[in-house]
Amino acid sequence: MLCQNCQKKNATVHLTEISNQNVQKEIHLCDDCAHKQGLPYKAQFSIAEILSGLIEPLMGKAIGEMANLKCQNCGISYVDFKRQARFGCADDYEVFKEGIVPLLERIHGATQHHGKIPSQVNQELLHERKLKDLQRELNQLIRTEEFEKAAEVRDKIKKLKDKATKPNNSKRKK
Amino acid sequence: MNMDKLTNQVSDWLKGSGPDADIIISTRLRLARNIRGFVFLSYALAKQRIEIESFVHEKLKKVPFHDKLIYIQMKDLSLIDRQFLVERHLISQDHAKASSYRAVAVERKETLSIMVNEEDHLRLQVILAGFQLADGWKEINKIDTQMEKYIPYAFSPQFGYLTACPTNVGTALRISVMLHLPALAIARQIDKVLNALSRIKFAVRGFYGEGTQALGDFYQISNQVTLGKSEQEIINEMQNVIPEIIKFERNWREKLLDDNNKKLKDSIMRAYGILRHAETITSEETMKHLSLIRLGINMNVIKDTTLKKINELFIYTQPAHLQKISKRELAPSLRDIARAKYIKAHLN
Repeated sequence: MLCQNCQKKNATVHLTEISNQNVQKEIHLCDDCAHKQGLPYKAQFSIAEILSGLIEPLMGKAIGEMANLKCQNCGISYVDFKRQARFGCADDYEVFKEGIVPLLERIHGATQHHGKIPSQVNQELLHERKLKDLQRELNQLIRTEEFEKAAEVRDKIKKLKDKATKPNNSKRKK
Repeated sequence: MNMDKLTNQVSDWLKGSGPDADIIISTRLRLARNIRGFVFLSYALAKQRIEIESFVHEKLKKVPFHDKLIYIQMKDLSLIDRQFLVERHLISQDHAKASSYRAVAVERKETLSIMVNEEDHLRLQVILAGFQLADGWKEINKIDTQMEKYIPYAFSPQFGYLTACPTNVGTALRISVMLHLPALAIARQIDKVLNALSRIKFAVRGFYGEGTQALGDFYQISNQVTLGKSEQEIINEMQNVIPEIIKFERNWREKLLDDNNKKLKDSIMRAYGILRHAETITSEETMKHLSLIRLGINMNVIKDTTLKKINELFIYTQPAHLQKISKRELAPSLRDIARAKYIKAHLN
């Protein structure tokens, strides 16, 4: 759609004016024309702006202690992270954990990873995760009353736990 | 040079094949990865960026699929070449714009690309024609698993794969399915779809991703949540949502044909006529008409050209592609002439 004003550029600002009589009028302008007309708009929010908006209320509470936090590895402070909405290094996730957990909760609705684990991460962790995943699956199946499948998963959990306590038998066939 | 090889070939994903190709152009999966021990990109100094780039370059020479890769350093590319890679969906706009120490490794068929020093140290991407979630995941997972043997990834048991931006952390998997929804656009039903998608935390973008408009009635639908769900769960959600949209679009295509057979056919044939005879044409106008022609082919209104050809035209009529084909820089007005000529040659 072309800008209604200059008829040259693409319209990127779309406004709906509602007058007293409740009559709606649509206006489509390009960035430049919208600027010239002094419209109170923002063409687009950057991800950084949206994220800072999310971090803002959390900062209020934690500002005292959190503001002074600085990562020894990359050197960024919690305030830097808040401003840029970007981490400086992997360590930041631990250093700023207190502030990050509620942030992730808001973005993803979760704070615990349930996906792939790189093979270089140790076996114990893999085992622990597998158990957790199965437990999660079991709970889900019980909720949806799929008891036959649930029993299968329960057996898998049992087998996995046995394996951990009797590592020597882990290769034994049933 | 490597770039010419790419110019002369058609990306595999553009071939108009694959499941549900009448509506789904491509299925794209992206994994963000950072290397343990290195500072993230936005805070890395030039020296560190160079170090990261050469580290990755060396490691990529060792991976099992190394002989299929074309490794390109961004500093060696002209602005047109960079834009060309963006138009091919092989790199992001940001990757093209930013300065030195960035690179991209492209697999010969253009199914796989690995951006080096984008927002994260590594951005792996697999792009397939049509709706191919399971195959796409199988492919990118394989590549990722092979790479992690050579490159130690930044990972935390709690937060998963650690990324520069908190919106990507966890699986760091972003799936984008590109849909062509002209009937829903004509019937003004698109907003319904977009509203429903935003409620279930799916993002919708235009043809060239973030910040681009829905040119040519193309919409990229992608997952926003990356933490707390497994890759398979993210894929399953996508697998549940996309077919509903496909069904919705197909129903409207049928309904439009029934309702005003002549009117719709007329607009499709007019679009075809313009593209076959225009002397000069802008990129936006081209996209608009190609979209109708694409619809015409899928509705059996146009029978003398192919989906593959039209898919190609969407990409080859973009500014950088036209200039690569013409082998010189062209001002916008000259581009419009070159575009009309190119389209004419391919549609007549």
